[in-house]
Amino acid sequence: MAPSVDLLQGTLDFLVLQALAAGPRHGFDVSRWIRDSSGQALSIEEGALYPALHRMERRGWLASEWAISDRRRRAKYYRLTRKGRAQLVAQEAEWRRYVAVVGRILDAAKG
Amino acid sequence: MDSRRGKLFRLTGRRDVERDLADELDHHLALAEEEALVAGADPAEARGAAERELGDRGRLLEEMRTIAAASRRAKRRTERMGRWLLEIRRAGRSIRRDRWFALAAFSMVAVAVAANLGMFSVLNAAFWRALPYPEAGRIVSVRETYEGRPLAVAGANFRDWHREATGFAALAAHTSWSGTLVRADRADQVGVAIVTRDFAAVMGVAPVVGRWFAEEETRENGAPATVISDRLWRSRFGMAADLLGSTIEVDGYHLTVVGVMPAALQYPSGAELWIPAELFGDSESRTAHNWKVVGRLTEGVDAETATRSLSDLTVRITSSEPATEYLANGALVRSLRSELLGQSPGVLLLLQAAVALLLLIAVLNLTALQLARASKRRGETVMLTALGAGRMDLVRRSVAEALVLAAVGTGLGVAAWLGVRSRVVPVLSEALPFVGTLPLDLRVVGFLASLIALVCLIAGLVPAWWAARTAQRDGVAARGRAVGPGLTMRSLMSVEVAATYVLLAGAALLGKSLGRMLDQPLGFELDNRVVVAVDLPSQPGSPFRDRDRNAAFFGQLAEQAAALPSVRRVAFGTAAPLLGRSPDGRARIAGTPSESNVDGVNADFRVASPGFFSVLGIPLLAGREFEATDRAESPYVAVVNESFVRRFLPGDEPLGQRIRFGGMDWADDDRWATVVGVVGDVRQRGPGDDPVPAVYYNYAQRPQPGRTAQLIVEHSGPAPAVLDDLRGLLGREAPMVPFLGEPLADGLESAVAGPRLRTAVLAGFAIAALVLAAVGLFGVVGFAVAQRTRELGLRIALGATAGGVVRAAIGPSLVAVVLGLVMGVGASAGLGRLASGLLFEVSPLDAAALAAAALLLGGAALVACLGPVRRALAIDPSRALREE
Repeated sequence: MAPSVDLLQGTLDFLVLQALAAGPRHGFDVSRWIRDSSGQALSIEEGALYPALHRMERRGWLASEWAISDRRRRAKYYRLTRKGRAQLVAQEAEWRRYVAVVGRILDAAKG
Repeated sequence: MDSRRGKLFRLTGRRDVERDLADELDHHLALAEEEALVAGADPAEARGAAERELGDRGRLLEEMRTIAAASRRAKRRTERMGRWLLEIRRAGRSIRRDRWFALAAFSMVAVAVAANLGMFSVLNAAFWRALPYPEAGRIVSVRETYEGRPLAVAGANFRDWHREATGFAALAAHTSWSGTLVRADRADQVGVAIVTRDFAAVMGVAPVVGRWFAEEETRENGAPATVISDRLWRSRFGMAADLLGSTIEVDGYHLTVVGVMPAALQYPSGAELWIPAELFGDSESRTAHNWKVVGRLTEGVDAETATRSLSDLTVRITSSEPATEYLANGALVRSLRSELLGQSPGVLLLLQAAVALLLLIAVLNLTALQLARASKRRGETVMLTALGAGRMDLVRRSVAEALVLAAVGTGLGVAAWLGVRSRVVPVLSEALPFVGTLPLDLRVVGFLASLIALVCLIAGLVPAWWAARTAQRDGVAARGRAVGPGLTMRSLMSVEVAATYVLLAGAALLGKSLGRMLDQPLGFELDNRVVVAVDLPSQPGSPFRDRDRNAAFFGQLAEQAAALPSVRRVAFGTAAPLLGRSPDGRARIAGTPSESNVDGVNADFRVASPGFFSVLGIPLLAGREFEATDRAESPYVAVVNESFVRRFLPGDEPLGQRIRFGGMDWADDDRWATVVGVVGDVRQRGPGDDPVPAVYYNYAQRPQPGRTAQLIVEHSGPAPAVLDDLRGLLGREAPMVPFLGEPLADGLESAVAGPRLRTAVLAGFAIAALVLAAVGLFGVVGFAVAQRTRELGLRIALGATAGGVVRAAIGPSLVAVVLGLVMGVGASAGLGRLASGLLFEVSPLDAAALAAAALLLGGAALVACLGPVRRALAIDPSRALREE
């Protein structure tokens, strides 16, 4: 397992939005998607995920409904609302810009 | 699909939320544990790893509960808003269906709102809006006082104040007169203000064109200069740019125009040009009260502090003078606003109270109408309640309707006010010149909002309260047989009748007071007399400065006027009633203590030509009038009035008494005069004025250069033609004098203009109230009859007489009206004392006025009942009984 990276403030929201971009997931699925797609580098701080999901639902970025999972359990599925999708697009652009800027600075320091 | 599920979720309670939170966490735990087991951990270890991943369960649940509660609150808020919007839309539809009701409700609210808005705008301008000067709150008016009684300020005292007073950033004295502006063969009357140099600093105003007075223009015999008003610049000089530096002639003075003041400067009232007071010099007297004083307080100093320190200073500077009631021993500093308002606050508050009553009446009417509507759809209400609608739902429905009615009515009222505002402003600015254009500022808008809120509260909550109460009590079964809102409606009507009565009684009292005033014996004849004020130039060098030339001019003018067609008789004098001025002074009577003491006796000083009393119809009570034989060089003669005799010569034979009356002319003329006649009293300033002791002198013996005299003409033809002839005559004889002539009756009109205006306004409000009350009664009685059709039908079927039917139909309503009248009379008696200051020789408890108001209101109530009574009598019993 690669050493885990601390999540920057506000990053979790972006990752959750990203996790739900492909379709509805329940909370456990979201946490595993983040862990796996980051190559085990990112793990969510304990106790942070569900408050984040609920807060985003309250803001209207996510909608939820209870359904029976493929493992025949009652699970709460979250999906992006239109507002959430717009948020995702905005945050993604922001992140790309941020990464590019930091990259340029690193290159400059090297040169 | 989604939305339906959302609705179901909303119905689930807080317990389900709790379960959902736990389930969600448990689901995560289960999956994490499973994952660990698959990875090969032993069961205990797997459970532990899963729990660690989620963290402290208690804290987590708490955090999520908080979020859930917040989102529940937000959801409820939007739902509530949504429900209100729905109700408002529903109310709009329901009101639109009820055309006549809507029309009545809208117009009632509109009338009340327009009146209240207008009145409040005036109040706002009079009491709260800043005067149009920078930091206007610091501008004050300053007076001298003697034993607390305010006096105009003596020049010498002002100069000491100006030099030594603390607490003032600037102090200025001013006085005004009406002058004559001559330019290009045209003479106009203009308002002239004589002001000291710091006047502009006090007002905080600088000329928009040119400059204020410079050093050499503000000393005695300096360069004569003037600053003119924006209005004069526009109207008389066509905004000519080259006016600056040119010379204009005012009252014979040649003044260089150095500046134009902004239009905002409207002080002293009526001033069209300002001239430096310093040019003229002033006496050293501390008892010649010639000046008004304005000041600008230093930042942080209030009027009380300034009053105290200025009083101390005044005592110090006057302590060396012999004390008389003319020598100040104090000072009074108060805001310029209170000076400008004068006596008007009482009238304004009275009228504001009147419109508040009008609003009350409109609201009660609206409430009664809404009750009637609520009663008509009681079936619907009962059904809703049975289906679980709560009290809040009923309130929402009712208040939403009231809101729609109030909002539309208010909109119409605002439109109506804005429509008449431009016509109100000129009338108002006669009385309160500083009120401006009455804009809808923040305070007025706030007032409007609270009006709407008040209407909603009363007209919304009362019917809702009634509907909720009856719906609970009656239940579905009692539908149709339950008690109507009659009692509630009748109580409202009683209050409404009482309020209307108070307004009517007030208007009746003011009307009677005005009538009394107009019936007042004036002591002189009014009809077929015109008066022409003649203000001859009197500056140094003018020929009319000479006493004999002045007297000769008027003697000749009177002769020529008498020769004009349709002129009967002509006289002149300085104190024509209503239009002339009648200064008071100290007279002395030979052989009485007043001959030698300091104060003499206080009397008015008037100068009249031969024929003055007979032309004006002032009765001669003893002795003779002035004659042409009283020549300048013969011994002085005087005529005194009835009050003078009663007051100062009781029991003595007035004829032959000798009187001395000095200090009243330019060249002090203090000779003894013999009383040769006694004439009747006149009400000099108008019908509200009490006669005062007066001494008349013969103009030929005591001419008055420097003072305006009036030509009094008794005529037989129409006044305008006579005035035209007089204008022609004066234009030939004295082209430098502006023509100021008017029928004497017009003078009476302006003397009673104030009382007439407030009576007319209050009467207008009272009539509006009467109409509203009648409409309300018509609605309430009509509703009562409609509601009791079945009962009345039964009575008719059982052989009730017409009288019995009428009694049953309108009896209770009439009882409410009588009750209201009784309350109204009580309230009027209580409130009347407040208005007694505005009443002239009428008691606030005047029986005739109060009875007239009661009769008018009772009559209107009966008329309002006529329609419903006709309907009650026309009920067909067979149909009425079949219907329900």
